[in-house]
Amino acid sequence: MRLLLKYLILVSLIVNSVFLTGCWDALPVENRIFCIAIGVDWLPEEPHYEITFLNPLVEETRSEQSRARTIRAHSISEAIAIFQHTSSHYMSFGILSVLVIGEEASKQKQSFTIDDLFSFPDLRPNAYIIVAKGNAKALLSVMPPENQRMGLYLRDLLDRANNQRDSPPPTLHEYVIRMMTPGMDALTTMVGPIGSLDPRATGQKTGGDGGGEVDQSEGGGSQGGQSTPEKDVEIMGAAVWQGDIVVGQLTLPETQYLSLAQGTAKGMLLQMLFAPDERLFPQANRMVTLIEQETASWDLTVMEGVPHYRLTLKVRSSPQNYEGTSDLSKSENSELLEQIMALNIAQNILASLQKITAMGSDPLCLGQQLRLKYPDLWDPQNWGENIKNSQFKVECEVTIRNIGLQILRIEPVNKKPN
Amino acid sequence: MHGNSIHGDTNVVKGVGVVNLWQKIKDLLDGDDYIEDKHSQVPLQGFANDLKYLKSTLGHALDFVTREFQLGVTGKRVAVLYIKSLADETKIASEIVLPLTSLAALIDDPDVRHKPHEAKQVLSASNITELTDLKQAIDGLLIGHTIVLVDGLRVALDIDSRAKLGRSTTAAEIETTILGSKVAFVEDCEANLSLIRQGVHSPKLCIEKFMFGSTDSKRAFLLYIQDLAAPDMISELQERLQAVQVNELKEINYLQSIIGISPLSPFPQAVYTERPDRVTGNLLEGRLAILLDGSPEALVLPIGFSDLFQSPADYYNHSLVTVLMRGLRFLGFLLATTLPAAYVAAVTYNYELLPTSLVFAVASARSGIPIPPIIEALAMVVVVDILQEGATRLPSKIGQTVGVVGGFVLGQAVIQARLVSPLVVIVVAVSVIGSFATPDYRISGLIRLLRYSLLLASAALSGIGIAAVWFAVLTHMASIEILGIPYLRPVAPLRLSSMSDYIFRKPYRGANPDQSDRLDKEQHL
Amino acid sequence: MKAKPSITTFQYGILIVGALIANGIFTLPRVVSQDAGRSAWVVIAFVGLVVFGIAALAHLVASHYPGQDPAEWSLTLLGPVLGRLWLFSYLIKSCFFAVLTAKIYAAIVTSRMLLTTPSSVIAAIVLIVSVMAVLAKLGGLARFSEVSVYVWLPLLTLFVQIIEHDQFYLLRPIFGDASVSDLFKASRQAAYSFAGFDILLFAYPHLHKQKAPLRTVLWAMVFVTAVYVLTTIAATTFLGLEQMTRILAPTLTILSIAETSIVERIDSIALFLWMGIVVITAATQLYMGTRALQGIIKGVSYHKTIMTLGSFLLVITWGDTPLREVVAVSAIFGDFDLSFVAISVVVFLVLIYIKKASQKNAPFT
Repeated sequence: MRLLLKYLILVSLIVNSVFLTGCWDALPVENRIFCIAIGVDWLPEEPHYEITFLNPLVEETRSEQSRARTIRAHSISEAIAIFQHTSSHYMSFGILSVLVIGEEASKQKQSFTIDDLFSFPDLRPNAYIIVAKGNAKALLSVMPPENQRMGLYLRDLLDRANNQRDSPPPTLHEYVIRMMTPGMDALTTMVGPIGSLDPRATGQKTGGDGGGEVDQSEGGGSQGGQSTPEKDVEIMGAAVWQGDIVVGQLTLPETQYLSLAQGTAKGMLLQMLFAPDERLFPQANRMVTLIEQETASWDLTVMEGVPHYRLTLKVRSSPQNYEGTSDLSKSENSELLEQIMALNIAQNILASLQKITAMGSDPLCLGQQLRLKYPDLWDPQNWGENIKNSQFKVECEVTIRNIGLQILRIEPVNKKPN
Repeated sequence: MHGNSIHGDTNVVKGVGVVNLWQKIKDLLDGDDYIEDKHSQVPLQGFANDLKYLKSTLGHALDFVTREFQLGVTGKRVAVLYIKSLADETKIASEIVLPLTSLAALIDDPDVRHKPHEAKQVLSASNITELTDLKQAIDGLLIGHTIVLVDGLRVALDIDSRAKLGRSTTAAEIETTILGSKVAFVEDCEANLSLIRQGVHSPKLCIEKFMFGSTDSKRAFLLYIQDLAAPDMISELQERLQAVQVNELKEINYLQSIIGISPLSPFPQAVYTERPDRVTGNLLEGRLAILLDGSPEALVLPIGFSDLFQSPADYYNHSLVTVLMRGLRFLGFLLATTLPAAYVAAVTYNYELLPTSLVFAVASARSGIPIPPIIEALAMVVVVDILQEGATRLPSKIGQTVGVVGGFVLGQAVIQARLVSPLVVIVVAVSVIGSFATPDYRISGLIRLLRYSLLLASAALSGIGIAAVWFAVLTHMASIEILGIPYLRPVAPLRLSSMSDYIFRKPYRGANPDQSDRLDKEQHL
Repeated sequence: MKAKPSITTFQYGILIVGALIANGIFTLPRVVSQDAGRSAWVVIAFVGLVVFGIAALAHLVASHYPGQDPAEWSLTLLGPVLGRLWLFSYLIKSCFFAVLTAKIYAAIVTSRMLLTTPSSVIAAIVLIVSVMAVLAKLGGLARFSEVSVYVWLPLLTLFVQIIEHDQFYLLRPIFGDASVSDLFKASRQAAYSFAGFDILLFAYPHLHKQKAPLRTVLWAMVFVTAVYVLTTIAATTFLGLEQMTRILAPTLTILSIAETSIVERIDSIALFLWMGIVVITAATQLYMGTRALQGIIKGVSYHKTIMTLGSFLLVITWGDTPLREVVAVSAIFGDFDLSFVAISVVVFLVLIYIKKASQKNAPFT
């Protein structure tokens, strides 16, 4: 009997504690409004920030539509608060796919924006962070092909880029690590819409008073207004960061060469542009090569207070579209091609390195090498300036593994009629 | 001592052996030692008094028969008593009455003392017990035995003369398997014992008899295999059985609580099985089994939680197939208990755990539904449970209609009316299907209890609530010990040797059954 | 009264693991890295070694009284008054510890998932389940611990996958960031994560076969230390030192980043599954407190003591405490706990040997 009483007390305690909790945090999924993408744009006038929230329309089960809502505010948290105030649903960031920073906004400090976002514990830390060529709002308003949801379409595009090591886009958490760690800077993918950027063609409203919602357009939808002419987006390169500010841009090929320098280019299709060479490239001088394997090793010496970095690169690749006339099955021709490729790669990497260091950015973690090898010379506060003095030397060795099948065209012989 | 009783206080029916009635009568008439039965409640007090007592106790029943006659010229009176509706009169006539009349003739022969050999062949009955307690005599009469009282004998003779009543062995109806034996127990304990004997050809099979019920006494038999079952376990169960004091014991299902095997726990701690092959398998693993007159099931204990997911068919299939099947059953159990709660937790709290496309599907399915997810899920679960209960008890033809109507109502109309989302119907359906995967149907009650508890907990505290309930249940399971054997064995305490028949079943490679894993309180610790 | 053998040697080790692991699995990398920087994992390994030494001494004390736990032999060694005083201190320490464990877990849950739910509700649920576990007695508690540890283990494999080989430089230089005093301070911060190993004093008499249990203590301590070191290395290489020292529960942050094809936010799942090890930690403390109380008040029943103690703890757990404050208190408390146990063990050993020596020199009777 006593044992029964004890169990009853225990069970009632448990049951009461369960029921008395009141389900404080219960929020059914239909009372939430999901945000699959956020765009951050900068305006010269107050309140300066124009935040675009891309929300999928989940009521429409068959269509893949999203709604883009733009709000002007002093910060992203203020924009969210304004949104909540005007919406019956609760904004949720658990399935956030992409954070898009507009080109102008990227030149402002992003740490506050990131801080605001990370205050939401359900935020998806594996969301990508990218910089939009032009306007984040315009990018998110594009109607992607095959009637997909824009945020998810962007995510798929970036997933493919990640897999192909083609300007691998960082996620939010990777960006934060690099933003916070001295001697590491981020390199984020730059994405732009293809087609007209004339807002008049989209029927979108612009302008408005400071603060509050600006407009609500059906990005990726066809409700009302004219359909947007932008049909697709593409990766246009990379934004170069110094801490939490973008200091420059790289083209897509430059980004690819930097990937090579980082040693993360395995599986990448490298687009190469050669100077005309009568031996191998008498006509076409473009070639795409698959980087099958590569090793990149860095070495550092400091001479007279100046860091000298030496990169030794070994690349094994397979040309994909060699259109020259030389027979690459002959060793002298393939060796020549290897030399030309090595020189091309080395020169381009050097150019990319000089470009980013001139901006004061360090996405290759060169500062960490200095910290480890020469801790006395390491000055984390001023590394953005000190890196500009760095000197580089690149040595590259290319091995061609597979030249593919070269088809020889056989011209027919003209026969005289009998 | 008569028979090989292990503890000496109980009557042990060995099942074989012919007792020389004449030799006993002779010895007793010559004044051998009086055999005192320590449990005697109504001791014999002489032929006339004993006969009067028995007549007064059972004489009010029309089927109670008393045949009295005298033995030869000595005039010794003999009374043969039996209950006509239970006993086999033909057997009584041929094996008892007729030999006794022959005995009467022999008794007059002064040479009989020099021809004990012929005299021994008098009675051909095979199962004769000497009683000194009239209460035991009444118990024997009530199960179809014949009592013989002989004037001058200080014992009453209890002879098994039961008629074959009830149904013959049939196929198992509840625990069906595709392969293997199909036969099931019946209400007759003797028949059940013979079924078990057919499966266990071991001289070490021990069968002990207990009588339960003061107003409606029934026999129970405790079975185990000596040297396989742990002595501690045997003695503990024997003590518990001996301590049972009930007026009546209708079914063996009541016995588990009565003998004090965690009566408050909803977790099955014994297996009730209608299959002899299951009982023999468990006996060979060192477990104990109990049979009860009138119950077509055997009680096997102790068991662990993992035993609830084992089926006799596992031993007829390939070991890899068995692994898959057992894994599926356990998965079914988890789905049955936790899936509705997980649905409520995901939809109400932790949507971020779901893949993005599934979040959209869930949100669009839930849009426009007027009731909160917890009420939606609870309502569906309650309705399905009510349907299940109804379908179980209704005649099969009506039960099918209930199933169809219920399915139509639940599956179609309620979704079209937008009262619940299609997703919750799927979730509840999968949960119910999962509950069918477990071979022991008694676990269905546990599944329902857990399902409701987890649902309520998940609605209050999402996955934390689910985890809290599961861990609370785990503490309870960890506390259960059945006859000293932990319920969570072989996982906790971890016993790798027992893992060969846990989720996995080690393939048979000429394995010596004597070396199979046995339940041993000493060893498993 | 001789303790009834009810646990195996493996369960003995699991109890030690379970009593420790929840203290450090959530917050240890950050707590130690704040002072030790990149040397955090070395400091943790060192502290693990020291704690093993203390545990070995504790084991030695327990082995002198094979059938009794501290609730009994402390009174024998220290006398009735001093023994009770010691047991009372033990009781207070255990109660405080159990509450702290529940509060840390509750604060983590409410800061990451259930934002508006009062953390005292979560803490109360943890304590209720702990009471249930202790009601099952040491045998049941040991079985519960085994299963909870099995449930906790699989997610650890993710940490091995997560360690990025090309970011190992973030761990170097190992001793470049911190001075000796910083390392010492960090080691004292790490002490909390190893508190609770004194369960071996109470569990030793219940061992079924007292065969090589010191080896069991060794592997348990090595395992716990290895887990702590692994999670610290993973946190440092994956998150970077600067970010990691700003996150209160870096282990969970790592899990929130790890992805599988079916489930994304594994940190939420970890919070659900790891409730078991939190319960073990709180339950072992509760068990020790119960036994201490039984030692102080002779004749009181086990079940009544647990229910009383559990109800008292439920009352004092009430109230929300932010995670930062709870972690700060735990760091101070851990230092005290380790010192208390270490000093007690040394004193007991000395007393045991004095007693033995005096018995040897005693005249023949």
